[in-house]
Amino acid sequence: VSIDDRIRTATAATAATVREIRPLTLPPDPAPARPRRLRVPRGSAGWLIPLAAAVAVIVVAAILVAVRDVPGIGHASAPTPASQGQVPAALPRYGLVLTEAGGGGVQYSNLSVIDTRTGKRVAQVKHPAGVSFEGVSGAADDRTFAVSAVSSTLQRLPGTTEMQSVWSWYLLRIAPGSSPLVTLTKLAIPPQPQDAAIYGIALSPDGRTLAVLEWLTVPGPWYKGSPGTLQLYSVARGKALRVWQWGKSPDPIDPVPSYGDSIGSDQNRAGLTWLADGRTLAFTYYARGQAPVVRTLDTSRPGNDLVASSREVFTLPSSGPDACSEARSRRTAERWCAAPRCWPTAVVTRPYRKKRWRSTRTPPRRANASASCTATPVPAPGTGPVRWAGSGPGTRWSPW
Amino acid sequence: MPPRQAHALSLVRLAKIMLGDQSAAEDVVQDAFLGLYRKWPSLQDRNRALAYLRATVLNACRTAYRGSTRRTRAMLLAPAARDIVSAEESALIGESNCEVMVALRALPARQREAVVLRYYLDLNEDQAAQAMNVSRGTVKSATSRGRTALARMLKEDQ
Repeated sequence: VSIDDRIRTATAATAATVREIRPLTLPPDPAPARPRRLRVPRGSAGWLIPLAAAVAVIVVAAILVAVRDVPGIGHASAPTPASQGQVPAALPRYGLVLTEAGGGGVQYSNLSVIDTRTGKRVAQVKHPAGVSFEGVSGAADDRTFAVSAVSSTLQRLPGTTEMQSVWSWYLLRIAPGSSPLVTLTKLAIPPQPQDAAIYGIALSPDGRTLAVLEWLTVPGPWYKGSPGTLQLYSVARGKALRVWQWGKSPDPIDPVPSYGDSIGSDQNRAGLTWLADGRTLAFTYYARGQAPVVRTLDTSRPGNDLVASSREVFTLPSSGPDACSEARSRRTAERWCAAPRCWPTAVVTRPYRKKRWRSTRTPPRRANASASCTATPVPAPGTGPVRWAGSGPGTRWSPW
Repeated sequence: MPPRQAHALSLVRLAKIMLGDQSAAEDVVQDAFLGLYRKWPSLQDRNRALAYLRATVLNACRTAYRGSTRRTRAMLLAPAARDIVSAEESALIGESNCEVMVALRALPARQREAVVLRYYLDLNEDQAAQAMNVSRGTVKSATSRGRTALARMLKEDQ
């Protein structure tokens, strides 16, 4: 045997011992290319460029002034999607991504604002000290988002003696063209103890009302007569506008089916969603021993029992990752399934709080059901076509 | 498997040949990818990302290997060569291959890299020169010396 062959055999055998490697842990996307300076060849009329730009601005301004006075086109008569509560037909411009911030034993999540047209991160919102962002829901204008957050520092809630971690809610607004681009305001909604399981948050299409579906068995001033509640809060004042009770019947252990988290996102296992009319809420509901169902609740009608006030519209397949695709064959459910896809909702980069993964990639089992709801082809950062490096939540940009 | 992960696997294999330790190899490759991400905006030719990664991995392996052999020698005061191939690895690849790997890791870094690039990755002299960041003549002489040294060591063993 020649020495060359021996080297080839030995190295190949050693390489073959590596069968599986741990997944790479990488930032969401490579940093965008730095803008290059425009080079003007010497001797040409380079001074024309700023002049041409100035002229263009003046022309656009003149057209805007002219158009404003034309009836039917002017600013006042062109309603924004938010004011009409309509679902934007196309892909929303802005999306929020929860990204894990490193550091010590406590895990925090930051928020990244992504421009879906360029695929670039346009802003990053760092978590306030001692608070981690956990879930996101957007209004129809894709400029207004409600963010749920949990504190890692202990607080004393009013009416209690114990110190505990609490849930609180923030409002994030994106104002393109202004500085700062993103503003984050803490909402006046009363904080809840961390024992509350938040099964769904949904910001109404007009951005004025926040719906929170939760489960809380700990007694205290927040107890609203039943462990399960669906509450509507005023975003402006933080006041509870409506309360529906659910889960009074004997001890449901896990009132929301666990596969719900593959349809919804973090903090929205129940898939709580406002329909385009701005007053109907859709959600999955699961009574013990029965198949989970999609129910709709008309929030403008009286009543305080969630099950009695809402209407069952569709029975979901009892389990399995294909719930979303199977449901698509039915018309009502199609609308329900389509809503989260059109909605400017979060692409969550981390599966479920209780499971700790070493990397930020989500496990493959969740890919099927949510692929169609979240993976949307978006233009490339930098040059050339960019593919999703996978499907479903947890996808990352691939530079190849 | 996404293309990035497939590239990572082939790079980990290369690093494992160089280092003999999979976990260290994975660390090296992870760092190389992070470096690429940082460099991404200023990278001149993005089609050469893989070549860039390969050069980074080789470089990091050289550093890691230097550190690890020094530690091994200092701590165990044992002949360095035998410790470089673990018992587990030798069971997996067989006695004869194990001898080759021991000899390979006893070579000077540049000769080892040249031999691995030319024989394992089947790169031509130009590509190997690029990955090692040396001239083509250096690759040629390093390969030849490495090969001769290996032949001598393996003959002595028998």
